[in-house]
Amino acid sequence: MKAIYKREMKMYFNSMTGYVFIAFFVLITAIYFSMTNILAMSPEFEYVFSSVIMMFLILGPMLTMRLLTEETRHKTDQLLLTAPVSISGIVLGKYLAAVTVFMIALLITAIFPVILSVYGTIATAQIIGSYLGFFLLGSSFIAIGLWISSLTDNQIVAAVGTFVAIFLLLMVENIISSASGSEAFSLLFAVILAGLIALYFYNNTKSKAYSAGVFGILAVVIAVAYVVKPVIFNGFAGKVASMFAVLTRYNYFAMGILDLSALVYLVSFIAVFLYFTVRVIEKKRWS
Amino acid sequence: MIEVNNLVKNYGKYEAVKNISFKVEDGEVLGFLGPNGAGKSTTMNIITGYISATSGEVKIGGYDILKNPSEAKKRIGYLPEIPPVYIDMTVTEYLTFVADLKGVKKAEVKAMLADIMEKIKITHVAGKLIKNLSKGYRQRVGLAQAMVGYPDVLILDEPTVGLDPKQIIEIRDVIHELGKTHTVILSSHILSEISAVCNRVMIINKGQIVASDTPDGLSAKLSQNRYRVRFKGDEKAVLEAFKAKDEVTFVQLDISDEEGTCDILIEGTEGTDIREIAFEVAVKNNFVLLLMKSEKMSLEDVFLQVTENEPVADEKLEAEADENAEEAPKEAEE
Repeated sequence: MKAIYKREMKMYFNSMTGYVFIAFFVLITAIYFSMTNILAMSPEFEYVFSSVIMMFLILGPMLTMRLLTEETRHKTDQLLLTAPVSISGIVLGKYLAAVTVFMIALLITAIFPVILSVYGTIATAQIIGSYLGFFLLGSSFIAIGLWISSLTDNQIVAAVGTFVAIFLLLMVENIISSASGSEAFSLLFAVILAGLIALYFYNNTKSKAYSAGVFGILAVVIAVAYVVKPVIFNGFAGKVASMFAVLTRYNYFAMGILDLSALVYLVSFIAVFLYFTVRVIEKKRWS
Repeated sequence: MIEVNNLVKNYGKYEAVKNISFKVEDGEVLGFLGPNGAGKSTTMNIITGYISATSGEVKIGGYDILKNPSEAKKRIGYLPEIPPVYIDMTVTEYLTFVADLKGVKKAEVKAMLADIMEKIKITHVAGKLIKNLSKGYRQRVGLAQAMVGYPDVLILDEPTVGLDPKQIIEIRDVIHELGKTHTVILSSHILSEISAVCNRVMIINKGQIVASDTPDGLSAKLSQNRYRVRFKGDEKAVLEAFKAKDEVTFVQLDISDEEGTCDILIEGTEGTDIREIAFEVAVKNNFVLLLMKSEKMSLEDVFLQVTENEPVADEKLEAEADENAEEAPKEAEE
């Protein structure tokens, strides 16, 4: 793991990627800092991060698109997978390197609240909370990016995929809540969800009968539930969507609240996607 | 050192490797020979743990590659078909990374790399980016990478592909040298290479082992009792005369390099001396006999022969493989 971590760090800073990422991140933060704090003469630094979050759409893919795609493309995964290191070691080494670059950028921006504190009183809890929340949020996006880069051997596909995934995660609540008024919508949503689950089974087993069976059972369950107790579908889509609402969790931190459930949520979010990545690499060996 | 038992690998319905079993002893240099797509690389990828077999087991120095991967992998150095080099690193950086990856002790790394680079003759390109190296040098860096950590077993997939003739000879010498202290499996479709460096040759075709012996033994086994006989005159009459003999099991016309003569290759039944028959035929028909010599098959001929017509012995293996293939889906259903 250490060898891979060291190599990835070297790669970030031998190529432009690491520097560009840090420079871009600090620049954007500085611009928002000037606008929301200095020019508006406000000490509320946490608003800066709320604005910077959108930048993850570009910054996230930038950090992760190369990580595993290049290994598959240049067949260097043959070296890693035949060396005496575990797959989780490989994934973790790469993940930690990306997170380290992100953390370096984040630490540099810490200079802004320090500047603020010299000239006035700042809300320490909110700012520390924002930093912790922002770090966890960014780390979650990096975990998703890493997972997506394990699915393809094309950097562009990985970058676009990561962009879309981050976009959906940031938008999921807005999209669903604006459309999920009716029960019919929730019903449709449940059927689509059942379809996706069946598709996942098909992808893993390649058995049409089996996946059709899974879809059939799920459809029957949905139909029965709808006839017997339609109330469940009231706001069902919204409930499912809120499971993926990382932004809500971040907002707790930004408010200066150390909510344990939000902390556990984000950490397990990262763990799940790292586990998915390991599984994808493992599966490649068997197919 | 290496033990492979009943290895099967299916890609969907396509059977890439059909029930291969073999052993490689300590210090042996084994050559995998086979046409493209025969399953050589697949077998090597399974042995090194890059991909997993559908069924069967692989043991390296007693350690199972699936159950105890890190112990097994520590003992292997692998050069895949395409050298797994990071093109944006220098040779030294890359080899240091590999040493790190294989868990070589920090204090030993420098001396080890110097020694390996010296052996493979890449010391003078140590500071260059791999991106700027030619195919031949990348291949060498790949070979150096396999040697890092001094593993007991070296598995080399077509190590001389893309090299110029001089480099081929150099690399071959290196492998020959390594063979004295390592267990080596190498694959190739260049036959002279195999016969030059290997103690044992295994010919693989369509995912099966079709022959396995020493290079000399292999050609001796398949060329018993075959003679080349040259006569002056009409080839048809000569062929007819030999075909009429019961003791002759094989007659084939071959190209002669002398004007007005014909060459035939003949084989006799076991126990008969085919030379006597040839003499009899010549005397009886008044043919002028010009030449008679034992026809040892080259490895090329052996290769072509075994890959074209599969020996009877392997039908049994194939039947077993089919049974296995039938059992597999049943298990999945259960």
